[in-house]
This record gives sequence, C-alpha cells and structure tokens, in this order.
Amino acid sequence: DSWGIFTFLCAALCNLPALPALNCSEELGPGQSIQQTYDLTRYLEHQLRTLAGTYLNYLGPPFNEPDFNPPRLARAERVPSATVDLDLWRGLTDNARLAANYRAYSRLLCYLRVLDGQVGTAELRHRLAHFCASLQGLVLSIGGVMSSLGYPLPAGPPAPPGAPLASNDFLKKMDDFWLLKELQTWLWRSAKDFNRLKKRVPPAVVTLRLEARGF
Amino acid sequence: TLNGRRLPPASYTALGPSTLSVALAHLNGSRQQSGDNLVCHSRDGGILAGSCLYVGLPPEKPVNITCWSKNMKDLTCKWAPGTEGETFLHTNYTLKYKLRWYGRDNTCQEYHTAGPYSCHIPKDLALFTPYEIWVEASNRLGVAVSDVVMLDILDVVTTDPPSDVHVSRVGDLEDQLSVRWSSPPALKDFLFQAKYQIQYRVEDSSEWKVVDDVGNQTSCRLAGLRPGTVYFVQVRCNPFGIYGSKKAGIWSDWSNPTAASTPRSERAAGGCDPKGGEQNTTLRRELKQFFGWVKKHAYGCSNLGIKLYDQWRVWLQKSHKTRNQVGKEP
Repeated sequence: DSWGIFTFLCAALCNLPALPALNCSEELGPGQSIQQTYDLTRYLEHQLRTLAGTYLNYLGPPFNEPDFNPPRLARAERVPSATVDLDLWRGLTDNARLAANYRAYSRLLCYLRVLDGQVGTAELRHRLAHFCASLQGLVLSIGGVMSSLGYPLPAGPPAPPGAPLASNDFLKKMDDFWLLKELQTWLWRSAKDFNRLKKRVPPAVVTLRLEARGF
Repeated sequence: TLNGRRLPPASYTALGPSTLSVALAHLNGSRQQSGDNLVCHSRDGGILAGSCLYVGLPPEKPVNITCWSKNMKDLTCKWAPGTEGETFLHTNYTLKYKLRWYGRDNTCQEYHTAGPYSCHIPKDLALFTPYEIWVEASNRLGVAVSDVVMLDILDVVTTDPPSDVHVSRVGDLEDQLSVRWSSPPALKDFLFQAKYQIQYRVEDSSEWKVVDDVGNQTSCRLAGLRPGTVYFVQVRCNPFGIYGSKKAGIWSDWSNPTAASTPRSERAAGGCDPKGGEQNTTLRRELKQFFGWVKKHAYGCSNLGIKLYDQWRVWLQKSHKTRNQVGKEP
C-alpha cells in the first residue's frame, strides 16, 4: 500500500548522513530523488518476482516452467518492449532515457490495471493491486527526478489499452506472460540507468543545498 | 501437450496443414481456474497454437444463508457454496434481495466483508417489512440459485458489545467479583430490552463459565470464585424485544476481556476502590501506593494481578535496601 512505500522511501532517505529529522514531504534535491527512484525500482523488482511466480502458477504449466519462451504476436501498440540496442540506449541523453522510462511504466501500469480487473483469485487481485500502487509510485518518482533536473515531463496521458485484443483465452495468457517479462526487463535496466545517473549528478549540488539549510 | 505434458499420439489427428483434431476422454477437473492449457507444438518444440480448456461442474445451490443487521442500519449476509461446483471453475456469487411485496430485485455490491462468501448492504433498508434474499452462483457451465430466505430486518438485529466493562473486588470477600458495564449506546433510541450474558475464566484455563440469567441489569456479582486468582471476564448483549417484539435478537460479540483478581486470605483488606475507609493500616497504605505504581507501570487496572503485586514487592525490597527507609514491613 502507499503507506508502506512512503515508509520505505523515508527509511531510504534517512540513511543519508547528517540529516536530522528530515521531513519527507520537503522538496528533494536531484541526488536524493534519484536515489529514491533507484531504491523503488529495486523494491519493485523484488515484488515482481513474487507476483510473477504467483501469477504464472495461476496461468498453469507450461507458463510457469523456467525455460518457457512462447512466440510474441505482432500486435500494434502493445506492451512497450524493453529489448533495445544497448549502445543506442546508452547513447541517448538523460532526458530522452528518463522520458522513455516514464512513458513505458505509465503504459505498463495501464495494462496491469486491466489485468487486475480480470484475474480470478482474491490473493492475486490483492498482490496485483499492491504492485500497481508501487508502480504508480515509480512513475511519479521518475517525474520527480525529471522535474528536479529541469526536464519537461512527457506530454499527454498514455493511450489506454482499449478493448482486449486477445480473442482466445490462451492468447491472452501469452500476452500476460510477455507483459510480466517486459516489466521484469524494464525494471532491471532502469535500476542500472538510475545507478549511473546517480553517479553523474554532481555531489556539490547536494552539499550546497544542505549548507543553504544551515546544517 | 496438456498442461505441459505430452498427450498420447493416438488422441489427435491432423486434418489439414493447419488443423488438428483432438479427442480427450476422462478428463479431471481443471488443474487451475484460469483453464487447462492445450498446446500444439512444432517438431522442435516451439508453440504453434493453444487453447484453454475449462473442465468442471456447474455450481451447486449455495446454502445456509444467514444474515444480521448491526444496529438496524445495514444487513450483512453470509452463505456456504454447494459442495462441488466451486473447485475447478471460477464461481461468481451474487446476493440479491427484494422487498416481498414489491417487484424490484436489488443486487448487493460489497462482497467479502465477513469472509469469502459474504456481502454487505449498507443502506436503504426498510424495517417492519419482510425481505426476500437469495444467492446466485454462476460459472462457465451454468447457474444455481439458492433457496429464498425471508426475513424482517428487525428479527436479525445485533449490536456492539457492552462498553466500559469494569471488574472489581467486593470489599474483602475472597470469592466474589463485581462486574459493571454500560449498555451499548447505538441502540439507546430504540425500544428494546437488552439481555446480557457474562463469561469468565481463570487466567490459566481455557474453560469459560457462562452466567446466563443476568437479565437487563448492567451489573452483576460473580460468586463462588477461588481466592487469590486472576479472572478474565467478558460481557455480551442481545437486543431482545426490539420495538416490543417478543423475539430475541442476535448476540453481539463478546467485549474485550477484562481482568481482575480475588483477594487472598493471608492479606486481609484491600479493594479496588480508592475512596472510603478511614482505616490507616500499614497494609492499606501499601496497597494504595501499589495501585499508584500500577497506574504508572501497567497502563491501568486491566492488567491487575497477583504476579504484578509480587513484582512490586520485589522492587520495594530492593529500594528499601538502597534507601534504608523505616516504617514499612518487608
């Protein structure tokens, strides 16, 4: 739930040295925002492992088999693919990379929410709801990083998934499988992105802000 | 394959380049509610196509519908699924209700409020008139409707447990405790005769004794108790005879347990009430100090017990040794 995330974020923040009673609702410098986003990404990766395990068991074999690799159906405007040319990806500006992350997670969140409405068991619905809340937090966090670095947020709400495209329950299961797979890859790569970004944001900026507050 | 396991080649034949005919007999109920996975593979194991199979039974009639109304404001009902229909296929339950003398069916919206097979109707309920209530169970193979239950909200009223339950000693009497409580406030504007029940047990036993004939008073004296023992006491309320009906309502939950101890014979005197008594015995003064200490260290009287008293005695002895005070017996 959102309180859990908030507590987690506050705990992560409080690990920074020499910060007495920091009010979590204060405006954060970019260094802190990036650290938070990184931590949230790792938390989501962890949560996704459990969620995916439960969900794939719900789909049943062969979906929950370790080397399962079904074909991807060519569908327009579907789940944003995490597989990109790594050199190309690294060659992007920080702004472009952050924007791509922001857009991807917004759309992934939409698809997950549709899933939430259709899934059978109460336990799964509960886990999905919790994950969606956390993912929403990530989208907002990335927005926060972009703002603190002076980048504009990507325009417009993500296009809603619309009517379910799978005419066949089995095809829908395959779509669900790939949604979780892509989500996994996105989170894995985002963690690396934020880790690298964190090292690039000048620490002087952070110190300056602390001094300005008289610490 | 079916759920990842190869099917015997005899069970399928190719009718054309892209059509396969499969015949499966003696299927067990679906392994998962999302459907069994029937998959067609190419020679190298890759997936060519798939289908979900749903094998199960149509639902059985839901049974044992019981409802209750909290303070006549709402209605919660729970039921049990019929025996088999539930397991292999996902079953949807819908609780419906209508006023007996008017045509319109209403559907309950808030599910799982009191367990997985329950629903809560929060408002717009009429009193003094019968409702018809039933549950529909449906899955991919069919629908089953429970028997209709007819009730008037006033017949199934329950309320909150009594509040402010206090248990105290009765003077020096070693075998008695006095219990006091307040009638639940929510029903104070409605005409009814509350009936109460008390249950109590010894601290280290799990056997409750029930006092049934409490009637509608808000106090009771428990007798025949063991001296020097800690007791846990709970009270519950039944809104009997709402609006003059002669019928009982539904018992509330038990109040949170309240603890108290009966006095022990060697230590005569001492009761829970601080007022009254001009006796200035050493022991009485000691007990007064004890209760002051308890208030500070045990968050109120509800954790009162002989063990706590002994702990205090130990502390007192230690502090006497360090402070060297005169005038108190160890």
